[in-house]
Amino acid sequence: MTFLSPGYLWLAPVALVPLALHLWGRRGAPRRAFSDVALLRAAAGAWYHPDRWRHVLLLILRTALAAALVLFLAGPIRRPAGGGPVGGSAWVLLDASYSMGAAEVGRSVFESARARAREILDGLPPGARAGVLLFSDRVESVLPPTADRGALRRFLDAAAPTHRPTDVGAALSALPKERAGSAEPWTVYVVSDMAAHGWRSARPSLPDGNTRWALCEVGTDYSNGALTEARGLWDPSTARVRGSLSVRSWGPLGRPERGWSVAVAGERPVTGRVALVGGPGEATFASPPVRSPVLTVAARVDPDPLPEDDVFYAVVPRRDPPSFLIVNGSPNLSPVSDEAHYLQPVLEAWEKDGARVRTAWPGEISDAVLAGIDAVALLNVGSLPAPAWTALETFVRRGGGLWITAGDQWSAAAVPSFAPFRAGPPVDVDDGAAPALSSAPFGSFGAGPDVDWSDLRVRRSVGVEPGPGAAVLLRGRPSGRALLVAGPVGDGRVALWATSIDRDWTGAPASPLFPVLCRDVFSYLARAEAASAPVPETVGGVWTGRRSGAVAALLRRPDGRSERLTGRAGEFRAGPLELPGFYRLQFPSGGETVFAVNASRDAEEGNPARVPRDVPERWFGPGRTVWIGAGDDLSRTLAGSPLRPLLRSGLLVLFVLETLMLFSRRVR
Amino acid sequence: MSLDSRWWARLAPLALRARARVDGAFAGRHRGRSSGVSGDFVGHRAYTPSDDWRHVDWTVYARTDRWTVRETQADAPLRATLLLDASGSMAFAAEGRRPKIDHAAQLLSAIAHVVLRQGDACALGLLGVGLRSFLPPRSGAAARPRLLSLLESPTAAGPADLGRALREVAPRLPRRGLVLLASDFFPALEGWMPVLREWAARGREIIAFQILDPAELSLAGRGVLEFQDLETDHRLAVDVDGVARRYARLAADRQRRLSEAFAALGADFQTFRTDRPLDAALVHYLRQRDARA
Repeated sequence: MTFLSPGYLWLAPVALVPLALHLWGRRGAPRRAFSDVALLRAAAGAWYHPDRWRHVLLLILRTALAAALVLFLAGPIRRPAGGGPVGGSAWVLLDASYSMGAAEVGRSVFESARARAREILDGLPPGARAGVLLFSDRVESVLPPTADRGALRRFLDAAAPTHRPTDVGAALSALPKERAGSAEPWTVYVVSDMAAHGWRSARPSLPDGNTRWALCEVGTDYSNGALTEARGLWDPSTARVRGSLSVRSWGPLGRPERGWSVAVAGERPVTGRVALVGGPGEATFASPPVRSPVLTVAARVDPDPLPEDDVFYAVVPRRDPPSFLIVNGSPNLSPVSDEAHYLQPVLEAWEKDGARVRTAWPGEISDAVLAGIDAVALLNVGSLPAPAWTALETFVRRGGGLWITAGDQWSAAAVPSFAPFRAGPPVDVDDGAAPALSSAPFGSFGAGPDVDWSDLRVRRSVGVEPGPGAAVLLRGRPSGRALLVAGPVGDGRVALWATSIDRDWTGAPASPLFPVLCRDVFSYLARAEAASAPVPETVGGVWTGRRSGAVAALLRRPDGRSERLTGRAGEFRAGPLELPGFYRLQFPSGGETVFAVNASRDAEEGNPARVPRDVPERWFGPGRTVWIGAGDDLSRTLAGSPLRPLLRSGLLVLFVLETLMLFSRRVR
Repeated sequence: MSLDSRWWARLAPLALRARARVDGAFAGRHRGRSSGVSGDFVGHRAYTPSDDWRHVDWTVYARTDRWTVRETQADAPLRATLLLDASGSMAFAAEGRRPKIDHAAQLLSAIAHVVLRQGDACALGLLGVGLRSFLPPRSGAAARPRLLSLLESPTAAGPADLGRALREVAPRLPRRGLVLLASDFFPALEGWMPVLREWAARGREIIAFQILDPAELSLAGRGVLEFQDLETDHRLAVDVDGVARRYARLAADRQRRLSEAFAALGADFQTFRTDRPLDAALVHYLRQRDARA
């Protein structure tokens, strides 16, 4: 006999409460002389039988009720006959997924599982070999079979639950390899909470028929809620982060609603409640005004037995309205020939959304003018003085955007040396446009074949040769000449429009696609693409980021530990990241990148429902599976049905009422 | 249990008359067994309110303007036997009240006083498991001190066997006469009622005085109490709140059965509660009885 949740046995003294109250009452009841006890006995017969044996029976019943409650919570199980190892050797597959971190009374489910594994190993005959395999949705660590009990104990002592989901199949698939070359019979113990989500993979290839399977179930049933997602967007007009939360709940008698809190950038959290009646719940939030440049979002729901999925981390990109600098190389009183004429409505519409647009003459370009600018448009500028190009190169390499358009001022010097493409002289063409959808980074460009590009006609364009890293986004048709080319330079981007942006060389400004195209190009260059909810990393993943110039960085982990990273070609890799929380990548040259990592958010990982018995038995084959757990007892039979928590709650309520009634009688 | 002057004053005009015919070799105010109302003239005495108005000598009244009763040889003296249940249950007294045994003794003292004052003989028996003591019938002033001293401080203790005690008293009773029994009548009816039924069949008039504490009709207290039986020492722990209503119903049932049983005997059954003044209740009873006669 053992228990699913032996921690509840600490409540065993509760069974003595009725006895204590009974004894207390016996001593404490006031005694009175009375003349007619016979009549009193007749009256009391139905209420409080004077018979001492009936008193004893009542006491036994009360004590049994309390003991039943404790036992029910602890989940007594019996060891089935024949559950011992075959041939004296065993493998213990210990579940270390994050659902094993669920709290029980006094300890976690994983600690119960570890204790069970110790029992199994201690029960092996002397000299028997045993191996231990720690798994989540992958094999975490393996101790090859050994007869060294000390090594087995040390391995178990060092084991800890992970933040990963469960996949029993992964562990079972690894088993044949671990057992390679061994012909002796084995008993494989799977020590797990037997959550159903761990058995969803396809049936793995299993060891031969010389293996016996023993399923050791640990943990008790519980209701669990999980924060499955937290999304946020930066609202520059109010300097707040607005977002939403998704919350799910599993298990019968779960809470009809959960409280939540969201802390943005470590500021005072906002709180609320989300209803969970009838399915998942959604809640929206708006943070207080935030000044921090890094918008970390730490969302939590009220804690429950499984705390791992009660928190969600996200980093919201902070997108302030972009600033543009328009450098017009060919201002003209004729609107048809003025480079900025057709661009003006696009920019005016953008200014209503907060964007700032400044203009400058080509000779004015300097570091000071470029300060605070996100993208610069050189409209038919032709050549520039060397200091201006130097200022622009610095500007681009630090993350700025540069858009060069052709025109009658065109010369070979119109394309700087740092651009990721080379341009030739202009030639006459008669092209339509065709998007290169496979490389278009623009949402509107990639809108699909329904977009009609045929009226975007080009009569003259410069030849463009894309260099390494650059991509052709639009091509002329049928000439195939590149029309729009873009590529990264340092942390910035450079694009070339191979024709004019007025109507001198093209009819594009008259096309309805023109405003969309201009806005998307500017957004791309200013890195002001529509802010989308970041997809958070989950544990076990590798984070990759680029940083020009930097060769080293310091990664600060959520647990406070730091790690020095070395970048290759400006690319930094961190991971695999096994801890949920916020990671900060700090560069010696200044600047910081913050990203979030969450525990696995498998849609069903938080569901504590147990696997139906027939699933493992289908995997292992009938007659080869032994349940060492609640396999045969009432609590296992009732698992997953609302009857078990109802029964548990009923026993608890009955016990409390009975104890209160007894207590109140004694007090009076 | 002495009676104070106020008692004597209230009892002075009262009499206890037997409704059945009585045996007696001496003159008395009660109807004798011989037929006919009038016998040989014995003398006159002052009329008392309890006297039968038919015995008033109208001739004397016409001459003297006094109400005078004519006594004849046929009027026999009464032999009243007072029986006091002195079992343990009679020692019960709820908080702040006197034990029932004291109440009963005072009642019988008053009755004895009335009986002796009217010239009748009075016997006294104390009942426990059996007949604990018995004072043979005496009349006259000399009988009073001894009788009252026995009733002065009776002790209630031990178990009750009312049937056995009554059977032991039976040989000492006159063939006809008045038997006044003071008890709580808690022992089972079947144990002692047959004895009284036999006495009634033989022409003895029975008056039953039931002495009760109110707490015996409806339980006092709250919560779990352990009750200890005054006669057997048996203990019983009960939740008073849970049983009080049922107990009251059973107690009322018992009262009803007692009343019906005594009515079937043709006996008076009068209940005296220890929380009410005894003198008023007794005077009321005697007057009522006299009126019925």
